[in-house]
Amino acid sequence: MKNRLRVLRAEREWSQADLAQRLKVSRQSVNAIETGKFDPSLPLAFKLARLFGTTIEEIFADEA
Amino acid sequence: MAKQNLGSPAKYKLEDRMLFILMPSFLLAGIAIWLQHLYGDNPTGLLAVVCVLLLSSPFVAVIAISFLYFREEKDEFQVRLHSEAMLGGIGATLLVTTVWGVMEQLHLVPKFQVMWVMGMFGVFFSVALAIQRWRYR
Repeated sequence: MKNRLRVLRAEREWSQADLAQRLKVSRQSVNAIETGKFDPSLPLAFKLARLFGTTIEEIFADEA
Repeated sequence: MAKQNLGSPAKYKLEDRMLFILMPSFLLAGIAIWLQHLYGDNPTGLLAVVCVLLLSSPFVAVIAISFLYFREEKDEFQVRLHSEAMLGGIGATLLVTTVWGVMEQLHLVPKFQVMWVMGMFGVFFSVALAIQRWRYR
């Protein structure tokens, strides 16, 4: 699944560790989501959307 | 703040449980092996039951500790890493013990000490987890 996490994070000048801290997950998790190796669950996706003040669809895009 | 990136509370609990539950269970298994040798490797009756229970304690401990970790870990990606590493560890252990078991039946290799299985799983699990962590570094 494609996502704009890296862009959204860069806009706020947050490191992966900063974002991980805000989400209460490991930095590895953030990296895995950003690189598309791991698709987050709905609760985590909602958390991301709330954190960036946007919608899930604005962050994630289905590749199909 | 920094502590969050080092590990989750569930991970700290996992480490504590490894130290205070898993390690003593190895001691119990060691006692079982000692008891077995003390009775000529052929204990019977209640002693045999005690030996079996003590020998299985590390396996029970690993399952219980992992179950609790999976329930308590809030970081779903870490749960995935650990569950995949456990699968890798279990799979590799099953493969080696099955091959060894068949060879043992054919009298090609010596008898296998059951306690090695736990150590073997520990090594395979650690290697699998290290590979997973490297993949998602």
